[in-house]
Amino acid sequence: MKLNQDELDMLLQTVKIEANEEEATKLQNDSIKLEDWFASIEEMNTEEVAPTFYNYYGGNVQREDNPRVASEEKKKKLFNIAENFKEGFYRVPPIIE
Amino acid sequence: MKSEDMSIEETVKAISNNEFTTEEVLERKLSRIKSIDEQVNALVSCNPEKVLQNAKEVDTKINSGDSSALPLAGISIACKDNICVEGYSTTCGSKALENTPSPYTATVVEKTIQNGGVVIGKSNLDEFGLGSTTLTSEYGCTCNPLALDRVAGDGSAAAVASGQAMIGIATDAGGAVRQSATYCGVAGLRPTAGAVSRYGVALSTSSVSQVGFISKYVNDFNILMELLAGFDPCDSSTVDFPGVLPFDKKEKLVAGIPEKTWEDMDKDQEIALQSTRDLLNTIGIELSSVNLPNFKAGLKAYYILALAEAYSNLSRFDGIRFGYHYDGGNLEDWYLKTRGKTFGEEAKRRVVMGANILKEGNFYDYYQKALQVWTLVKNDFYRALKNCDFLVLPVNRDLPTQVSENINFLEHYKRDEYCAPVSLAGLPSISMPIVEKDNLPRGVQLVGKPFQEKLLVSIATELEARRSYSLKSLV
Repeated sequence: MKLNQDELDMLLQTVKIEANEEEATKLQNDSIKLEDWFASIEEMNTEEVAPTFYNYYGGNVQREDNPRVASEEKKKKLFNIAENFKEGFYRVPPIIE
Repeated sequence: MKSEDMSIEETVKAISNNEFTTEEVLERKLSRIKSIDEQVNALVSCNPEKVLQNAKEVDTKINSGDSSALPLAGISIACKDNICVEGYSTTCGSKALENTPSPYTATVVEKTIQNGGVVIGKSNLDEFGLGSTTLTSEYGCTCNPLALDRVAGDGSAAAVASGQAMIGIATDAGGAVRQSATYCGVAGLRPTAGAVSRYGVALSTSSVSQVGFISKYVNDFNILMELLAGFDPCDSSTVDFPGVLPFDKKEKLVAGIPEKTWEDMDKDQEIALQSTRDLLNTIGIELSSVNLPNFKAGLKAYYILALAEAYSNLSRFDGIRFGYHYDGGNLEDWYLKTRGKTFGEEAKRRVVMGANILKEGNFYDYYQKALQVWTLVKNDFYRALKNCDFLVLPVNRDLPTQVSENINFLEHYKRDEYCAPVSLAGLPSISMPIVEKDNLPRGVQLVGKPFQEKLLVSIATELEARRSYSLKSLV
């Protein structure tokens, strides 16, 4: 849980967040605090306890995946709030310069 | 009686009896906002022209003989700014979504409007809803109308307590609705998981967050649940029935009181618990001890899940499809700069720590473990509720934070100690103030069986009538 500089750099790259030196130091310190805080939960005996991943009537549930096509009107509204949407595509800067 | 002091039922009745019009009620609310919101900062946005136009439309429908179809006529709603309302931006309290228009209206708000309710504005929240103080909002902190030097917790609660709105519609993951309501001296309902649609709501802790309600009067929750709960084809996590069970009054109700002392709790909060136990005795409710052995672990399990889910749920905010962005040379720079410069400290912490929890080597020790503890916590609640009708728990550990106080992030997390385990259990809960000291309320939460919101409302109404607390806004 505790992050060294290399691990933090890798995570910042993964989550796509630029952080300055002060922020990076804070994040490293936060990882230490969280490791200490979460220590007691690590020690709990949860052998043979099934995980919960969603709450519905107190139990896990998975429904059939029934994909729906959004209305054209809704799609248009979504596209309209993008700054650069043209000819059916979001335009982004080049991936490789 | 002034319209400001009325419940939903009283307001709707007064409007249908032509005592005042919807437009007049909303005009009074707008005037209240104008006179006090500079001090309270409950609302992020308010569009008076749109509010009055919507109010006039409600009046037109009433005048055409349609009043029975509008059971929320004249009811002003403050919507937390992570809930989409067309015509308003949805900022989630973040610079990343500054001026981002809502592309559609959330189902819960749509239903409110169909029933005659009028959205008076979007209310303040912590950035992306990551907290219960508003201290991390891009739009400044919301001050508590009962003590302006303290936080309100959530803009909706402050708006209701200060008379800017009658009802707040807000989200509750670790306790934002319940804690804020009690901080501000009003009532908060977190419904059963799956009872109210979350379509059109931007959630950071999506596995446990629910849409809840805030009001001065607990009885309003019955009306709101009847009208706003139930299946939504746009949200597959909603239940396939109306979402709230009818309440058959039993002769003898039993309240479960957990067998433990609440460590680290402000002693005045203990007075609220004791006072509630006394009031329940007075109204003939039997008290019975229950055991919640994994309750304390619930907070940590909740935060492991909250961090992991923030990492996942905030990944969509990259400035391409919506939101603020910084131009970079290439796509990688765009992402790094946009997210680096628009996310605040807490959002960055949650995303990075969430990714850390989910990485190889940590996943089983933390994330998988938290999912298992979630099962233990949930099972404890269900076991306890087999022998009683509802539980009485504390809601806040401390008084609301001072606005100027610089508190370590973990201390903020620990404030969710009594609400987060209830969220994990997915059970309905009503929080309400019971006593006060130095004009600051102390309250409790009543936790019920799934979909038994009406039973909770009935008990809370009895407590409301007998408690020593009465709301006195400073502003």
